[in-house]
This record gives sequence, C-alpha cells and structure tokens, in this order.
Amino acid sequence: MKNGLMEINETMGVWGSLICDNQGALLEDLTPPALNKATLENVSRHVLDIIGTIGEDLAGLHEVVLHYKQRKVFAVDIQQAILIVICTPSVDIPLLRMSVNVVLARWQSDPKIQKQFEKAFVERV
Amino acid sequence: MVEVLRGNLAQLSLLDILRMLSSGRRTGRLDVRQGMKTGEIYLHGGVILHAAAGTQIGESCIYALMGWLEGEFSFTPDIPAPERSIQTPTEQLFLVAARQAEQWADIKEVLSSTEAVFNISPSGSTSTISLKPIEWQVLAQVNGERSIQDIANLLELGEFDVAKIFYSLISAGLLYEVTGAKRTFREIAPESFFEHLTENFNEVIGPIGPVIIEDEIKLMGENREAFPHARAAELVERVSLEITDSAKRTVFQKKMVQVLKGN
Repeated sequence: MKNGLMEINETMGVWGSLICDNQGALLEDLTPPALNKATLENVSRHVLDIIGTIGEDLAGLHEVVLHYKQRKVFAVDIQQAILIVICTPSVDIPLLRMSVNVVLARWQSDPKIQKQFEKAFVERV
Repeated sequence: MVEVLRGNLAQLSLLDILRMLSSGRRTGRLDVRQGMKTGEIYLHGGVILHAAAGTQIGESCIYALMGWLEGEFSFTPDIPAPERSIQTPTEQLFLVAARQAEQWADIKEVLSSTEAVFNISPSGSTSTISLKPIEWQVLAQVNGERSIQDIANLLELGEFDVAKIFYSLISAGLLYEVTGAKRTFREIAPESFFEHLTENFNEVIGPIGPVIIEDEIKLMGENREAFPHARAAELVERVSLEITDSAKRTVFQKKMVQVLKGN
C-alpha cells in the first residue's frame, strides 16, 4: 500500500497521501512530519462527513476536491476505505486523478491489499 | 469549502448547467473561472437571483458569463445570494441565452478562441464600411497583441459582444489573426507528447485515434500547434474516457502518466 502512496506522491504538487477506514482511522499514510496522526484523522473524518452528507444527495459520489487557500484536498471513495491526497493549490488535478486511477486499479487486482482492506473494513457511521 | 458539482465549460455549457440546476430547484452558488477571471451566479429554489463577475453585475453579467466557452465551474449548495440583482424570470434569461448560444456557434466558425489575437489588415476592405461607435472603440484597441478577452476587459464589455464585433470586422476584411503572438507566452506541449499520445491511444482504440485526439483538442478550444503544456494531462484524461474497457483505459493512463511525469 505504501508503494502506491509513494507513486501518487510523485505527482507534482502532491504534499502527502493517506488511506483511512470508513470511520476516519488512519490505515496508512505517507505525509510530511508536520502532519501528525490526529490532524490526519481530523481531515479524514471531515472528508467522510462530506461524502456522507453529499453522497446521500448525489448517488455515486466518487471524488471530492476541497479547495482551501493554501491547499487542495483530493479524496476518492474506494468503498472499503477513503484515499486522501493533500496537495498544493497548483496541482494538476487530471494528472493526479489518472495517477490515482492507476494505483487503485493495481490495488483492486492485488489479493494481498484487498485482504488488508477487508481486515480493516468498518461500516460508515 | 465543498464542491458538489464541478467540471469544465468545454464539456458542458453554462446554459446547460444552469438549466439543470434550475430544473432541480437548487439553491446555492455556481462559481465559474477562466484563468484569472471569476464569476458567480446565485440560485434560490432554481431561480437565478444574482450574478457578478469583475465589475459586471446582474442580467448583463449572466449573458457575459454564458459566453465563456472555456473554463471551470463548481456548484456549492445552500449558499444564499448576498443581494438580488436579477428580476427577469429565469426562463426568459434562458431564452435570450439560447439565442446567444446560436450566434456563438456562427462566431466560432470564424474565431478559433477568445484568446486569439488580431491585427488590422494593411489591405483593408474592398468596399465602403460604416462602423458604429462601439465597433470603432473595439477596432481602436486591436494592436496585434491584445486578445479578444483583453479587449473585452479593457472596454468593460461582455466577451460575447466583443466577439460579435470581431466577427463582423473579420467578415468585412478589416482584421487578420496574428498567429501565436499571444501564445508564445505560455509553454507549449512538445511534439513528443503528441507522438506518445497518438501511439499509445492508437494501440488501444485503433486508427481512429488521431481523429478523436483532434476532436478533443478542438472541444477544449485549443489547437495542436499551440497546445498549452498545462492542459496536457486534461487532454489525456479526456481522450482516455473514450476507452470503454476500464482495464485498457488504466494501461493507457499508466503509460501517459509516465510520459507526463517525464519518467
């Protein structure tokens, strides 16, 4: 899983990436030391809240991009978990989206990673 | 800030987006962005109440924004309008905008983009031409360096109105396009990018590949010779959506991500 995050982080403008479970607990992360676990889990829960709230309104919401003055947060709902990428505002979103797609497709066909997701699976609140 | 609906105006026109939000009786703010320029439109229960962009406000602002053929949009729900600047019924706004869209289609036959730069033709017109004051004001700003967008901003006029004037001035033989004068300031995607794109795409989609790529470039309001490097990934992503087999699409994206990242 770490290799996948590393691949995503190679995209220009990406600051760090992480995977959290459906309740916001950190499963894996590759982020700068400035971001501690509590901060990352706060970000995760915030993203989950958004997906939960808006997802009801827009069936099949798969991707969320949050724009802040200094950062962009790109999140993808992969059902068993959430992938979150923290970026600079200038990140090339189409390039990031394709980089993420490539990693997710590899994870999907990797039984070892799927087992990790199954093990960590929790229902959303 | 949360975005629930976002996309590119090259794929979905502002008129279509507003129609969709209006028929869904949505409340919130629609933000549109084209480079450094931004605009916002507020709806309440599907009714358009307010629009603002730069110094423009109200109904004229809506029509100006509808003229943006390129750019990004995002809709944020439940944001109330700070004021009401539009009293015209929304359906009536849509009727005027639809007529404007038809005229845009004609204009696009002559103008490649509102970023295009023109200069005054040295040979001039072969017949007598009378210009309205506003046409003269626009013509006076044409200098081989300013784009249509620049001139619209300078004169504080809508892009659509200025493009319409350009259309008649070009048709009268008064202007000619200055190739690349403006675009030399932005980084152009190298030919090797297009070679990789065509080769990898053809592998998946077959010989129709180059045609699809050209179509997408056109839909993005660009041309291959001056295609901005900053939009290369966007082009790859758009082209990749033509690949229906998701496994093949991922392989194509993987190859192109490597090209884009310079690996």
